[in-house]
Amino acid sequence: MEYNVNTMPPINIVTIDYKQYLSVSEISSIEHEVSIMETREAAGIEALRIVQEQRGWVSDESLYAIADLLNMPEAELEGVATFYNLIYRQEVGQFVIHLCDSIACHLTGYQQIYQAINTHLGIGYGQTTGDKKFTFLSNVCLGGCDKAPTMIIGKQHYQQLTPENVIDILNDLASQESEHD
Amino acid sequence: MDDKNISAAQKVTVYIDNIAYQVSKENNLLAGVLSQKLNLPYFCWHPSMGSVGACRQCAVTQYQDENDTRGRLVMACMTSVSDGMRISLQDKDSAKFREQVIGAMMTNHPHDCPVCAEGGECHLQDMTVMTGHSVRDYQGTKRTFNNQYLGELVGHEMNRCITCYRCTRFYNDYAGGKDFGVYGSKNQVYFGRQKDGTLASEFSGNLVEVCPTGVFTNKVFSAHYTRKWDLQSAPSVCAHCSVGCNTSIGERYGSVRRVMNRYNYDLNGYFLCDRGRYGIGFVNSAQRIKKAQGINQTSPEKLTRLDVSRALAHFRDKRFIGIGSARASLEANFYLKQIVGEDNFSAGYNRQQMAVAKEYQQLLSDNFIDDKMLSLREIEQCDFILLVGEDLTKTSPRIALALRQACRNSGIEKAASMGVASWQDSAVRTISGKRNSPFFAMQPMATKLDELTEQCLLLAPDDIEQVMLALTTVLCLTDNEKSNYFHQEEWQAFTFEQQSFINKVISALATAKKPLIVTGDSLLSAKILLATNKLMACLKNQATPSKVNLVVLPSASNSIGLLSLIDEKSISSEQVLAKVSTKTVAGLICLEQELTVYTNEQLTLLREHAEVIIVLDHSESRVSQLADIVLPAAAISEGNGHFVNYQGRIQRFSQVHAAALPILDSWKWLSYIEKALDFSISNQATLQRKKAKPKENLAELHDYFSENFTLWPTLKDEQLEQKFVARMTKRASGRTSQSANFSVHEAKVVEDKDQHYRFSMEGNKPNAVKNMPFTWAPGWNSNQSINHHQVEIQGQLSHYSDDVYVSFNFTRESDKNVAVNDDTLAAVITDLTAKKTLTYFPQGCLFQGEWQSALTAEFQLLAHSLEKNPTLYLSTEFVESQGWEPGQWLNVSADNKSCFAQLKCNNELPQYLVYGNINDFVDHKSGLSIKLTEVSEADVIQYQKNRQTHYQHLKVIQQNTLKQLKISDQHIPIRFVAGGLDDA
Repeated sequence: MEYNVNTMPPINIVTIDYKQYLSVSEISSIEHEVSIMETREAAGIEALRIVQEQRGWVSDESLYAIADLLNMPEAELEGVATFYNLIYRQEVGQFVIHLCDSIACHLTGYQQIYQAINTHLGIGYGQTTGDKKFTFLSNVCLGGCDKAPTMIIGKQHYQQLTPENVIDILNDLASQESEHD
Repeated sequence: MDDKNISAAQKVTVYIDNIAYQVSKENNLLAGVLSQKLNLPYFCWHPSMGSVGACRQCAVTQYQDENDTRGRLVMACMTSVSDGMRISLQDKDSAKFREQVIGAMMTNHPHDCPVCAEGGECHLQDMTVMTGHSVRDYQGTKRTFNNQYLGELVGHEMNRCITCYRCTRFYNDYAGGKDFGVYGSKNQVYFGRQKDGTLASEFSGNLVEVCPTGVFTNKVFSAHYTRKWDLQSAPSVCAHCSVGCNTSIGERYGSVRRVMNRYNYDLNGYFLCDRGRYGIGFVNSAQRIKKAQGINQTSPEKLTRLDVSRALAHFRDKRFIGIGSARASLEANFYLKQIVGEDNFSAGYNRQQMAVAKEYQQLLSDNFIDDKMLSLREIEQCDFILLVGEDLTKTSPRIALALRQACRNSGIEKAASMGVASWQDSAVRTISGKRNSPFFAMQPMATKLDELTEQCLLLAPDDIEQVMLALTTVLCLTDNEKSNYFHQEEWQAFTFEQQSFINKVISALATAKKPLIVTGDSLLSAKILLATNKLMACLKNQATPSKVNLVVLPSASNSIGLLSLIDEKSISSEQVLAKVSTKTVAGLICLEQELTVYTNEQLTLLREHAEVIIVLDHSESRVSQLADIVLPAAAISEGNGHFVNYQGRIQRFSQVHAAALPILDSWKWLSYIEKALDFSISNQATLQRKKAKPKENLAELHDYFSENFTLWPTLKDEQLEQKFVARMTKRASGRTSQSANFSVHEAKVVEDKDQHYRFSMEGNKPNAVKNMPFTWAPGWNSNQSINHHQVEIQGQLSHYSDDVYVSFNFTRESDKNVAVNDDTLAAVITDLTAKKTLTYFPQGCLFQGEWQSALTAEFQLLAHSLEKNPTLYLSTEFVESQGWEPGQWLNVSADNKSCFAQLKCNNELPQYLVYGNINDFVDHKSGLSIKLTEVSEADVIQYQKNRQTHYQHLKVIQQNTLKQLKISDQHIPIRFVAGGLDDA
């Protein structure tokens, strides 16, 4: 029963000073949100959104930095971050596909849409394409049951999807980006 | 009595299944139903934490009137009680609903009861059986989670979670934890830390009892496991601080397995601190003394009285000094004092501590002759707190938890004004927001309670005294006199913060309905106790609207018992040394005393001069290593006796299992010594004592005491009724074959000489007496069965009888003229700034703060945890003056020791005040002058490497201890498969 030194927790105490980590504009936007809230920690969700807008997702370091700035326990902030499905706690691609897998979409051909995206991009739920363009996630009810199946990418709501038009949408988005380049 | 009258007046009639019941109006319907001992399943509700309506399990059908046959479903925990209310538990609709709720929970709950440490005392199992959900309908896959490492004390198995939210409601809401949260949503909700690591709360162990199933389990218990029904238990009292929380200790095959909370209405209620729950590990540690030393054993079986007499024959009729201890029982200390005589009795206190003890006695006799000090339950009802000089979360954690609840009273009152009952937990917390009852604190180090205070001053003990005195002065002044005083130099000498602190305290005190002042002796400052006494005297003369309550907390489980034995003749450790050096006495009898007051040099001196040192203790200490004769004493789980808690409440702890001979109760050894030494020469010579005969049990000992000594308090014992309560459950397995590998004949059960409980499964039910060995009720296997043994939910126990208190009447003739020696007062650190020396005050340490529990292997690991660095907090001003940076490492040297610590700044600190959490200096409670020097990076790397090596060493000790325990289990043919449970 020798205790192995390698399995021992290393002395690795991470402390993040928000001033070192967050940008000046991030800090000022967050402080603005704080100023209109009753308590500092109430700005948690807005702070996560602000940082995600800048960095694409919320890393552990970002989380600790925001917790430090808002003077709140990181466990509490993590609770907020993981509750909302539009806050990403893992690195995501440029476009995040939220495909609705609720009952109305299931009735109107969700399975085929999933298959089409899956074959076209070669990724399943929770995965990101190699070129970091697309991340594929499921979503419970986007509220478009009358126009199912539906999905949301960025701020755009796509409805009445077919296996064909969904590929067009993805191709459009992919090329849109390359035009920018 | 008052409580009972009030609640009787507030009872209303509720018809449950057409039978009328009297139910308290103050609580919700679920509590009302359970108070009638009816079975209604629940999960998220907790008597101490109120209702949130999260689990939907306690649904009942409510009817409009007697003609209503349909009714509607309501959640009992979210429904208030009204007169004439009609509900049904037995109707098909609500019964089906409750069964289906369990069914839904079971879709994700694993089928792992046989390997789950909760099995056999699982609230979820009980509730599932209660609802009749006996067949699994769901065939699909279950959601799975990764578990976290939550430290050495609490195991984590998230797959078992039924999402009742009790854990976070206890850990975060009730106990103020910061490192625990709820993550995710929908069917993927996770309870745990943000990342792996030791839970930081001092109350994390309560998760084990709060969790209705096996998500959080007692890791130490799981590692050396026994089912609850196989444990032999006895009622005990926590030996690790002065609160006197009631515990139930469980044993199997001769080794102690765990400690569980034992409900006490006045004290601990439903919760313990981690020191109380896990500190029991010391009884299994390698440091235990199991053999007598320095005595020739003639009989092969045991050490006899005659052996002791022979060994001590040479010292017959000689004088001895007896050093008692605050961790030994009242009986043992009292006996020792009678044996050696009052002028040879020492409490093991030095001059400074004796001065503190005197002031302490004065404070008690001035304030508590007629009144009792507040119990924990009463502390929770206070609405103003002034905390003076204590780091309570580390010294008396359960009191700190009570103060947290007291702080909520302001919010609860606000909610009440809006018509929201106090049991509506979520609503009350939303209404309260960050509102706290006024709470003021001053002490030399930052504490966890500071976050609740309106204002907190970090001050050296002498400055605390000054603020207390000024507070007293201002309180006594009329408005006119005040404005004069505020212009005087004396007042101007205080900083602005101190002045506003005093003013805020006074104005908050004026409106408080139940104000409370809490102090203690942990800074070893007689001056603070004196100042508190002056303040109390002033408050008594004031026409304040409400009586101000005082709670004083000593350090150890029997400090007050020991204090009650200290009189003007008791000698200090310095006098002990003098007496020994001048050969006035032959030697020393050290009763469970490790003599931390002595430096190594003093101890060597003691050793050289004393002819004989006799040590009675349960574990090896620096003193036992020097002793000529060591007698193995029973630890808390092996002996009987009484402890006196901070209130003076005398509480009994009972033997859990028979100790392996020659281990005996200290008081039994003392009765051997008494006979052997024949102290006819002692001060007690005038007493016509009966010929000392052996005392077989506490009853005989108490008879002997009360016949011979007037000072012995009369303890009325409930067990006089001789109920013979069984220590084992009705289903203890393998009893008849436990020792079949030695003999196939069923052995006679060990006889309990104290005739209270039986080492057997035969005897009265556990709930036949006030002090229940364990708690169980039909259909209720978990600790939540306590509902069935209370008069009403969260009320007094059904078999309650009043406790006995020691008298605080310490006023003695000679005392009136004896002022506390100025000399001893000066020993306390005086004005830091004038001296310009950095003075260090240790933050309390839950795991090292008490000698016995600190021997526990897990506590050693936690105290030397690698998850945090030793830290030193200095004033920003001082750090800047030295050109240092926060985060930098420094060498701290004092008292011939030196160690490393990481520097941090605290703006609130006076310039020369320093505090921190350095292990080596944890004992220097009254301040320590330190020197700081810079260190090189290479030194720090080496230091961290040494820490790692040391941690590894401690880990090996922990594993070896466990290995030893499992080896000794091998003597028993029936055992669990080696390796224990997978939660371990």
